[in-house]
Amino acid sequence: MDLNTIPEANSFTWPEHGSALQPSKRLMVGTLIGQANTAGKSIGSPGANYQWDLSRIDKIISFRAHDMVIAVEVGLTLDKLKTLVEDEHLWLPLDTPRGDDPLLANYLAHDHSLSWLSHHHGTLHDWVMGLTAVDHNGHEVHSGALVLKNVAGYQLAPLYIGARMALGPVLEVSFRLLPMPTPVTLVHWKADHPSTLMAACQHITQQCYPSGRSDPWEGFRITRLDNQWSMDGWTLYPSDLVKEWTDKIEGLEDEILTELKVPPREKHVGNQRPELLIQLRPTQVAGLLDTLHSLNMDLTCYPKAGAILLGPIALTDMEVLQREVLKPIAAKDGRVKVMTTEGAMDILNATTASAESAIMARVKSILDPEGVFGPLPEIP
Amino acid sequence: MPFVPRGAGTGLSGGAICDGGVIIQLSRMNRLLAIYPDDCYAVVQPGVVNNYLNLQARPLGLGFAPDPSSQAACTIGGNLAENAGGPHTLKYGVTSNHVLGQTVVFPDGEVATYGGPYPVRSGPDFSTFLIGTEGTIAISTEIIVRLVPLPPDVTTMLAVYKSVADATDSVSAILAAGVLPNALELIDNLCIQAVESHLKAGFPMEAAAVLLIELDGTKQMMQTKAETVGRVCKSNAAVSFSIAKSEEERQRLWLGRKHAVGSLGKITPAFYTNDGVVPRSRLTDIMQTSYRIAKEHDLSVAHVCHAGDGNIHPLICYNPDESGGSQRATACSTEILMACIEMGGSITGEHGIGIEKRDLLPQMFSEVDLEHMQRLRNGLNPEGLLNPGKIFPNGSRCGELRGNVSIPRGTWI
Ligand SMILES: Cc1cc2nc3c(=O)[nH]c(=O)nc-3n(C[C@H](O)[C@H](O)[C@H](O)COP(=O)(O)OP(=O)(O)OC[C@H]3O[C@@H](n4cnc5c(N)ncnc54)[C@H](O)[C@@H]3O)c2cc1C
Repeated sequence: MDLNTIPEANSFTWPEHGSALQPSKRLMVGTLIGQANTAGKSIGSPGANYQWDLSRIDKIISFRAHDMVIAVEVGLTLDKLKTLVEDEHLWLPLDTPRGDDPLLANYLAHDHSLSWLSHHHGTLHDWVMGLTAVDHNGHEVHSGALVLKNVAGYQLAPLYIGARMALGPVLEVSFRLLPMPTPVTLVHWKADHPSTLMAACQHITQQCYPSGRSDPWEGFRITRLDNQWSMDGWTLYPSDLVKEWTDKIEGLEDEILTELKVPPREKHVGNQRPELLIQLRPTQVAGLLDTLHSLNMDLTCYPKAGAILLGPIALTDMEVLQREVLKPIAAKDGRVKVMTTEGAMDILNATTASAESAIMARVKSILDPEGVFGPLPEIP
Repeated sequence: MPFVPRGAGTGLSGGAICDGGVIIQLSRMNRLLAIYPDDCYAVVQPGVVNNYLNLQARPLGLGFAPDPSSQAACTIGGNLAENAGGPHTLKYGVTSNHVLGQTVVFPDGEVATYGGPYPVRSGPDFSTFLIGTEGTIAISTEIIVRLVPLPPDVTTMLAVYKSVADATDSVSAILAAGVLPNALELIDNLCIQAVESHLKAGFPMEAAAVLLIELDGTKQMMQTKAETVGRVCKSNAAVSFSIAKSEEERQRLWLGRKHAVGSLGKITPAFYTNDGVVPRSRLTDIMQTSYRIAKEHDLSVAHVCHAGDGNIHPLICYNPDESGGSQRATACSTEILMACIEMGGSITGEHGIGIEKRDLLPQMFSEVDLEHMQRLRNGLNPEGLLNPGKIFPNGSRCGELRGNVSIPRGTWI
């Protein structure tokens, strides 16, 4: 396909490799490079006049199981990538709470990697070793290396992760991997108040590690759906031991204990996507869950990661959310991030931190001086 | 006038060297501002010494995971600027995995704070980008570091080998067996000689190489893993495999490892410390190549390696008083680094580029790549007064050096 002959805006192209971009340069790049993902959302902002489908850029560039690194093109989906490495008894400790199977392109562009693994294993920032992106002239640029450790040159990944491809589309990405943990005990409880679940979480931690600092849970989350609170977690400890820890905890209903051979994926609850990400210090989480208990809102909480995903949020709830939750969070140095692709909402007024937005705008003006790529997300 | 931030000056790539101008010595900004044990983080000034932070955190059951061997002297600011690693990087990651946020001063005097005391980073993260930029974009003046819970228990093991290749083969085999040690270090014979000549760490003098392997976790979990490690080492021709029986023995082994580089001064008038990385499966090849290259230059080379990460530190022994001695050491070092690139690795895993390796950077990156990175430096440090001349080669040298080695596909990223 001759990309120079792309006729007009609002069209799609499906290049087979990023090098196809080279001849087209600016014309190709247009205002936005995006991609309609399997869930129907596109990268970048609405109203873009050009969209680029990355799903055919989906090759495995290099997979050396012995070296525990993999480099792939971003048209691969997260599931495919995880399955691929699991076949070699390796593990990429990243997940998404959204219940979809995003293309890596989307996963990276929106950074949907905050999950029930994050308190132990972090997010994309902790596992991406390098990337290849396209610069504002249409040239491929590389940063990082395909080894476990590397400090040569600037590492650009932290700027591109979650930047909605506003600095240029990412075409290739490399990850470091871990040996696959096994065996696994999966636990599910229900309770009628979040404090019961938080207390249980604390109790188990202390049973396992008297210092109370280490955490036996590899995956851990608390959710609320239709006013029902529940906890899901998994650990590398055997089920009989987990049962011993949990037997004496009162107030938990419907305990389900399952043994698995491979680490489970996080299951999405409900049909809707979260809309707001609240970040706090872990010790502030219990208090906020209490407040949220009195508001009728679905949520997913990662207590040790200090993160709560809220939503969907009815417009009628907005005012009370501002007053009861968002303003106090801002006062406590917490921050709130909009997770939707539709752009900033009024809700952002609740938070103050503008330094991040300002510096990313500056980075954008440096790397994309003519604004050929789509706009940056708001970073409150 | 140019100005250069400096921590403890232990950097090994010349990042804190100032050619004229002013050095901003940060070692007196050494206050530990606060520790929040229940939220597992601390706020420090950049001049806080790595060991000091750990000493303060330990009674609270916490630690700062990056543990460069220089940790008795180096500062958190320097660790951040170099994205320092250490023996425990294999399991716990490097400095960029342990900094949550920072306050910085830009060259024009603007002060800003990025990140914050939240345990996870989500979305674009300027603070993380700054880590490893070697003080070429901004000066960190306050740093929020993650503290990790100290493991309930540790098991330290020593495997002894008659050949370096057997030791390096064991490294991959241990990980392939599904065990992720928190440290997996290799020390070769020349280093062993140096260490044992004055420290008596317990490394057998006749060994071609030893592996220092450490596991952490609960006793119950470590036991089966330690058995696996022992089995793997023996099946890879380890002549002995032992587990440290006491904390004292464990500490002695680590003392030997942490002082391995310094000890070399006992057996050579001078040595050039190098830092390269290869994919772990090429460890055996790079070690053989390193010995071969040193021999060709009529030099001896000792090695300490963060073997689990594929990170080698060839220590090239030379006599600076001998005519051409330094030049031969430099040439030898460059050849070893070129071999790292050819094997799909990197010219630095933790010591940075500084002035030492800036002319080698074009061997890893294209002109377009370097231009892209330099755009950021020039845009954020527009007059180039902050730490000039570091990391990036002077224009003309890029073209001259490029194209000497072939880079395997996939190593770019
Ligand atoms: C014996 C020995 C063993 C070593 N072992 C290891 C090891 O295991 N792992 C490892 O990673 N490194 C190791 N190193 C290298 C070195 O100790 C590390 O790079 C360390 O992080 C440097 O810290 P420093 O405080 O000495 O920084 P300096 O040497 O003073 O400075 C290093 C760089 O950081 C910049 N800088 C310093 N402070 C700031 C600041 N506040 N803001 C912005 N920029 C700043 C400087 O401009 C310079 O570019 C070792 C060094 C020695 C001598």
